[in-house]
Amino acid sequence: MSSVVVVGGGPVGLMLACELALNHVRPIVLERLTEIDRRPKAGAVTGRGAELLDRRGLTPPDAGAWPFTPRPVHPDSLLAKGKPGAGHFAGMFVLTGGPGTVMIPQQQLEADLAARAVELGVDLRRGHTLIDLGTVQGPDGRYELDADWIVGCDGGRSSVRKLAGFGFPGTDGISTGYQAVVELDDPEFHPHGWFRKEHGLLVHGPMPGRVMTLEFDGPPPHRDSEITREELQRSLRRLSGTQVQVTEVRAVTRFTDNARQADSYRRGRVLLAGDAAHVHSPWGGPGLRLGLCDAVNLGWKLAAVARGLAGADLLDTYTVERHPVAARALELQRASVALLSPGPHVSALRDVVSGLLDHEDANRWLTAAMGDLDLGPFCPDLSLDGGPRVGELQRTGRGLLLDLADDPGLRAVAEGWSDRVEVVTGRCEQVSDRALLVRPDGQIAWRSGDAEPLREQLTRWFGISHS
Amino acid sequence: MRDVVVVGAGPAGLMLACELAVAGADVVVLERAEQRSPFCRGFNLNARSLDLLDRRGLAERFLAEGPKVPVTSFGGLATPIDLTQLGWDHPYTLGIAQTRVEELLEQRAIELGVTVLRGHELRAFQQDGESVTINDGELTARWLVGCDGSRSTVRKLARIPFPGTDAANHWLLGDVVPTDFGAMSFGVNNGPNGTVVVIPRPGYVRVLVDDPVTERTEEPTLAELQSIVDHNLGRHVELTDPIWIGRFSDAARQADAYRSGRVLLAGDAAHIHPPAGAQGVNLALADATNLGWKLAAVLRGEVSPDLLDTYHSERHAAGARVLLHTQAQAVLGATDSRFAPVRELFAELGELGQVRRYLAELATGVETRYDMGAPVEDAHPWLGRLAPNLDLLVDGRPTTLSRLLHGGRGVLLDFAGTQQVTPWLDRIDLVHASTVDDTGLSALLIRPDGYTAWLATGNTHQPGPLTDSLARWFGAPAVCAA
Repeated sequence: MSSVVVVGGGPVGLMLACELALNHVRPIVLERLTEIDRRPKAGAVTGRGAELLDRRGLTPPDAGAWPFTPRPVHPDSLLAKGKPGAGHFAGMFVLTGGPGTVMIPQQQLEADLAARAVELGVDLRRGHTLIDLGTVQGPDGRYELDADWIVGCDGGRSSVRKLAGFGFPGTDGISTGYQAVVELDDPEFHPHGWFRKEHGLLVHGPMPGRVMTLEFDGPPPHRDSEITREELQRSLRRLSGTQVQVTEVRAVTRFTDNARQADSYRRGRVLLAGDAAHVHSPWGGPGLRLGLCDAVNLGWKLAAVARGLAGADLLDTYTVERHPVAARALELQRASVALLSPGPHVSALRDVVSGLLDHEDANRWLTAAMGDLDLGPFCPDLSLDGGPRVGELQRTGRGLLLDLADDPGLRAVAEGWSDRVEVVTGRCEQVSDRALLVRPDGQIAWRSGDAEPLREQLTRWFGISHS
Repeated sequence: MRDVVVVGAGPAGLMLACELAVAGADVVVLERAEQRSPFCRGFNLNARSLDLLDRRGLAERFLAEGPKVPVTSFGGLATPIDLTQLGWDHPYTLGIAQTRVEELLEQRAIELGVTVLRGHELRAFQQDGESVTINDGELTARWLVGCDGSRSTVRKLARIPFPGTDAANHWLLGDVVPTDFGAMSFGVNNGPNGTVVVIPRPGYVRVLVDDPVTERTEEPTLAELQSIVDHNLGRHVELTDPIWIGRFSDAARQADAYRSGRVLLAGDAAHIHPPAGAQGVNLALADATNLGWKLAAVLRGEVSPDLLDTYHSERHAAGARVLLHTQAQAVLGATDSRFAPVRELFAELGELGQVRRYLAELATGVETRYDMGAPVEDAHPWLGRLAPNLDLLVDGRPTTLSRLLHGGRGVLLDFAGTQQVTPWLDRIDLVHASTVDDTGLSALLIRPDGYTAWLATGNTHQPGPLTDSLARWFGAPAVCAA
């Protein structure tokens, strides 16, 4: 078996490590930081990302609710007519009809995934930094690390991407934003909610002391400079028109809206996933969703290749499937930022877009586009014999052959992939198919009515038979 | 004393004069210019304008003048919006110069006995409870209506505020003759330093460029236009014989009040907005057809002047919608690359049927819906909207709803033969009719402007009893001699 090193122990790297381990490959995970980064990051997983968490049993029990009681937003807030977790576009309206959003702070998701990875036998090394593609700086010194496969899950400024020479084309940012949890001299300096202002956007809440700002005077001049209390305070004052004082910064991040994407997700034995493969503005929270979907698309494929069961060309389907999804997400993020820019003409445009999305078919289209929901047939969360759901059956992280007509012939065919594909026999009223082959990422790879025989699809997606 | 003095012989003023004259009022139109300007603002009439003209039997005169193009545009999106699948009476945009629209309307006004006084400028007026005195006694009238354009003297003298959005972008416009018509292509010409948009016209071209000058005190000249065109294209393209050099912007403003006592505003005098989809002339015709019958009914003493406040409430709201979406279109159509992804989003969503209808209705004003006293959510879709031009059978003979409205009176279409409206028969026409296609309705009350004021489906009446609607729009019931 060849070895796999995952660079980056954030949610994407850890999710990928778990996926590999579930498929018999135990990777090394290198994480630069010695503990989980506590700065404010994403707070929710949307769309297909939320569904995939469920398919691994990772949805926290209280996933539909904020982990605190949010204050009611001001009636003038852009999201006043929404409810937490329903999804929005450019802070404008509520996306309806998608799967429920999982409310979970990124740090909690990372902690959950780290515990699970270790439980599954992943070698998680905190405080280890990749120096070049064969060298690691650890807490006890530098060491060589010979990996057959390297996956960069090391964020927007990915070392792996740079070291391996991936192209990263895209558009520059035009805005600077801050997300922070602060102590203020006047906590009531502004109502709670999302507000368009003369110079940009001001978000206050939902938890006490949380603020977000967005201004359109270009990207941060020095992106590596330390974020000072003064610059955050200046932004809050400009937007709110008050003289509010930031007395303490508990946590802060700064962001812009540059939108770039790796030209391919694989160069030889190096792959990219998550922010390492695509960066964009944070509005609407697409980052976690895209990254988790990347990891779940890649994990089982890389495992089959690393085990020598499938050819490396299986990995090319990873780029083919995931690159266009992120490309469209980036385009929607660019549109979001344009629609968040200030001015009366943009307000008018927002009103037209908002009216457009009151129409069911438009809302459904954007909900699907914002949630990665329309990328080929995704197996619904079917119930078998009124018993286990597909969501529960997929927790092994392996392929799933649903034998819905008790067909011993099919089961015999699948026997040769029993280490990679679970076979479950049962009945399901919700579909007319006699059998379905479901990939670990929930996509339907084969239906009983398809012209191609099951054996070919098993080989195509899971590699050679072991018998 | 005249009934009404209308200031301005543009589309709003002329259409209003026609509407008042049809309803029997005595109208004089004052126009400052001795002769009609050769400058043509726009080249199209949209679907709703044609609907409104059709309600007075005028559409045919206009339709004979130009091509029918079965699309409209929204914000310069690359794909025009197809109008053919929407079930409209006029599913197209008519190509016709606005100067020709004005000629046809003036012709009609004169046929109806309207006096058009050219070379007459309004300089001052005073109003009291009974009348308006114009230019220190030169004329007196019961009512004065300012249809005198975006810099309206009437609006300024009446001290009606005109708040809104300042211009973010300015453009220069030139109707000129290029020495070589082949030197620029029609449409967008991209040069090294900018773009030049060229629209073909008979014997000349309309040239549009971004105006780098924000504040101007004097009118732009051909020399300035020439220098910007040459700069943008990076080469010299000789422009001669200017018919008009003008300037426009994406500013949007609207009068706070469309009525101040005996003075009213209509058309550009009441609202300005970025140009898009023939909306200016559309709003002018819609303002005029909304105001005309109401003012005529007040003049006849049938209704209280309070009815004119519905002119403000209905048309101010409709105008505000147009300001909004024309500003949105200005952003979408601007060259700012930041909005390219939003244009892309519109293009993708525009493939969807409901979205196409929404954008088409927005861009043409077909979406306009007035408050008839019933909550919109539960209301029949026709209530408050322009009633479709139904094919009808009356006394066994085929006709249309439009034809019944040619005289400018309200119409009660009674499909079941059960409506009792005798006390209003001096003001509306009761028509016992059947429809060619089943509408599911037993009766419809149509205002003179063609909008559905009331309807009945079996036992359900919207917005309430018919007599309430009749009293609201046509006045108290006549006292019948026993």
